[in-house]
Amino acid sequence: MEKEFLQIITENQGIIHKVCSIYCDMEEDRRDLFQEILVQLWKSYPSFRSESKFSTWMYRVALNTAITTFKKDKRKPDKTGFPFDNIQLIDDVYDPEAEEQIRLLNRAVSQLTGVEKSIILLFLEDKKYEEIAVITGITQNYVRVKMNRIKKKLKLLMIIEE
Amino acid sequence: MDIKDLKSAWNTYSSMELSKHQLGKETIGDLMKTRTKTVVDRIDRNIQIGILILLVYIAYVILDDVYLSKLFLKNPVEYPEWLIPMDVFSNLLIVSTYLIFVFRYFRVKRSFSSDNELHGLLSGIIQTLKTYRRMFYLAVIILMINLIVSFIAGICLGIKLKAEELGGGVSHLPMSKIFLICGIGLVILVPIVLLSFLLLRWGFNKLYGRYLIRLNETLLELEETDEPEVVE
Repeated sequence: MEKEFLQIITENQGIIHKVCSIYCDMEEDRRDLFQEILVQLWKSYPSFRSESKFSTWMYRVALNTAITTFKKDKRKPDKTGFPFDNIQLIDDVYDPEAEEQIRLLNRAVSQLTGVEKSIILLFLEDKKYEEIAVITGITQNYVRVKMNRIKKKLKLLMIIEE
Repeated sequence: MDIKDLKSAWNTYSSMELSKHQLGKETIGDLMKTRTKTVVDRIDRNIQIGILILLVYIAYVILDDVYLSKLFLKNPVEYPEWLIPMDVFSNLLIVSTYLIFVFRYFRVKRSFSSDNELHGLLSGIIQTLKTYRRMFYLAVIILMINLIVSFIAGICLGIKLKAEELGGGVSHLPMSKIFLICGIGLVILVPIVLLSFLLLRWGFNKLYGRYLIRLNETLLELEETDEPEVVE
């Protein structure tokens, strides 16, 4: 089972990286969260039933872990969002406008709550409200309401940042 | 920047992040092997150790009451008769509180895992943390009940011995002396009880206070029952 698990996680590791990107503003935290998500996925793997999509189940465990993870106080989060070095585009795709957009997005997202971050991540990943509701375990109607609020909040935050 | 731009910025960023952090199967396997216990796992282990220590302690307290003191003391202390029901009651209280605690712990432990709905998971972790805190309080309560009963027994015996030394009954002792003995005892006992509780509360809040607040806030956020807004 471990081999099968490793294979499927290696293929779908992008989901864990995305969750880590949205929830962590320091490299050390990111590594810890990646490992913690991995552990929780492994522990929950026997209970995974094929009736739901693997990615849906994986998003659920990863987001639940990110929201409930215990952060040590000694690491002070960077209040301004991601360190700018972390979000600089590599030279061959350098695009100042894209870089500015990413910077704004990161700063705005870093000010959302844990639940809001999970909803915006799934929205940015083009998930439908129905799937967002299944992953987060909240009603579709509440997801819509929450999404509406997050969009307004993000717009406001980005105007302030600009 | 509108929502479309947001999505395109996210796509650029996430694909860039993936290419920067992508791991091979071996590295992921190594990460799994070197996994450390999560905070809930650690708390779980500590609660289990605590349950075992408390069980040993309770067994010792009861065994001491029923058997050991009679075995080792040549002249067993004669306690006032009214103290015996109090002693039995305190032992029953300790055992029943302990059993309720163990029952609640196993109920909480069974109730959640990471692939549950977030609400259930949050409630489970919060309950685990509160159970952990309760365990410390339980330990203090058990110790305090034991101390208080021993303290009362000690005072009664002390007063009796003093009265015998003075060649009369307890009724011959001046009330001021009896009050002084009780007063000194209380002056020692009350601060110990208060300090123990305060110290435990401080220690727990220092370790898990912020975490518990954050989990409670997230749970509240999920439980919001505002009137639905106009949806786009």
